Amino acid sequence: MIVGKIPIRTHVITEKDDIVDVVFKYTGEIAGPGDVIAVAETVVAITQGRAILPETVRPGTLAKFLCRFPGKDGSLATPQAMHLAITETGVPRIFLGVAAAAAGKIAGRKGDFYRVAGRHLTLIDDVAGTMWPFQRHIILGPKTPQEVVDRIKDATGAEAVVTDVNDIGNVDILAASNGIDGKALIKELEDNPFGNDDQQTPIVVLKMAE
Amino acid sequence: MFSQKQPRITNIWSKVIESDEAYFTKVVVESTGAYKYSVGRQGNDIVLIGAGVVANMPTGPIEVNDGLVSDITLHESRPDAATVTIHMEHPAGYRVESSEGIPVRTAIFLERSTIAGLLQGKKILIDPGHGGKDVGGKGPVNLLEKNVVLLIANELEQLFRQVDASVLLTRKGDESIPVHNRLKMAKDERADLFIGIHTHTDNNCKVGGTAVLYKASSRESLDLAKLVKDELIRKLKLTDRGLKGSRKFAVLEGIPVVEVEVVAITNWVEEGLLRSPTFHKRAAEGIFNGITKYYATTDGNKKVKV
Repeated sequence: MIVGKIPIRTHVITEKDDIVDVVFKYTGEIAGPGDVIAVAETVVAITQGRAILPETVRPGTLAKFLCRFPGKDGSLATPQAMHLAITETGVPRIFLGVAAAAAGKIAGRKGDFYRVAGRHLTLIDDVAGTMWPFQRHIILGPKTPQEVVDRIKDATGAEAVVTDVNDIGNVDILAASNGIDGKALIKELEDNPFGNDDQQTPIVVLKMAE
Repeated sequence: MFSQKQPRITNIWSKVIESDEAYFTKVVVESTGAYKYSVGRQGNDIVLIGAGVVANMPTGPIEVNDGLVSDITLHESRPDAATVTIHMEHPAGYRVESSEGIPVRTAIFLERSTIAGLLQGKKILIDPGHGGKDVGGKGPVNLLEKNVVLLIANELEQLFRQVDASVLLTRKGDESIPVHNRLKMAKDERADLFIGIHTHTDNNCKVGGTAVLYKASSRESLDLAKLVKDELIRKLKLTDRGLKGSRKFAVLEGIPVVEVEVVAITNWVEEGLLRSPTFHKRAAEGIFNGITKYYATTDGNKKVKV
């Protein structure tokens, strides 16, 4: 049973950090066997160098064309973000996604693009989607999240998850170490213990009863 | 065992609490266990000294800039003692509450009545630019200036209402109102300040940042513009595009006038920022802080009671 959720404030994490070192540094004295360390997917991605300055992206014709179709408040409404999505998932799969989205539209269904083109594309945060100093960056989803949680478990002895949580209670667990009850954990993260994006608490330790 | 380890400070955060009965800044220090502490005053600043507790989080300042608290600094004075200094912009009364649990939370409530006092009896006219057929600037994706400035103006109005200041908007909806009518409203209503809310439009989509226009040859308008711009930049951390005098407000004799260009809507990163309700709120807070600072520093208000 979870007896407490401890948001962990860290320094501003950049691509110079190793995520496992960061987690160990800030939770080594706090989390033990049985506890769960939850890490926000955005910082995992940032440490992997996946925060991209849009000025460095040269969108092709396809990206310029396709970015007109998704919702304007979504994450792929700019040519640069669409270009990165194409690079992430490959041109054929993007086309399959577009075809699915078109069919979905006729059927009055939403979300078919991501279901076909890849769930990982929902993790792309367009500019202004992340806290300072990354407000000018497009942030891709993290790579190999399973490897990250396994390394965190090795280093700390605690269970670990990489998760995407937002203020409206949507919780997505990207990867979890093998001792975790995913369903119970989603409920515990629905109140977004990470706080809003300027609180600099990308790690939460869920303490279990001893 | 966990409970026998030395308590560690894991997080410090603050929030402005606004309700009908209360108006204060709540500063919370979270730790993995309870420890002995004392809270006292050093000048205007409030200092919490904890014994037998260590910092788990980075030491140093955390920016707050909420108009009352400028920053909160964590410092390890000895290996087993930590000091939390709340740097204040104005003096304020406080009380402390602790709650058990994991984490243990020590909360310091700071009264914001000084800010209310500074704005007492003032009448502020907020002018969200453009409206109706006049859409103003356009973002590269789809946002329109007339819509986003209204959202920011509404947030700003809320902040003034909270301190019982008298506040008016030149438009509440998507209406087209000629500029001379807006200025006339300031005169007719005998407003103390005229605050225009706009975004900048530039042919170069790389140009971005915050600028403030002010009524040319008005010392008060220039002072106000400087403070509003500085406080906005502290909040939004955008490029400083400077201050510009403008002759178009000359008809408003005796009323300080500023026109805030919060961001450049034509910069597509900044258009992205304008989609976020949090950003509208922070922009409003920056403008509000600049205005309260103006009243805290102008001669007529130096003797405001605390």
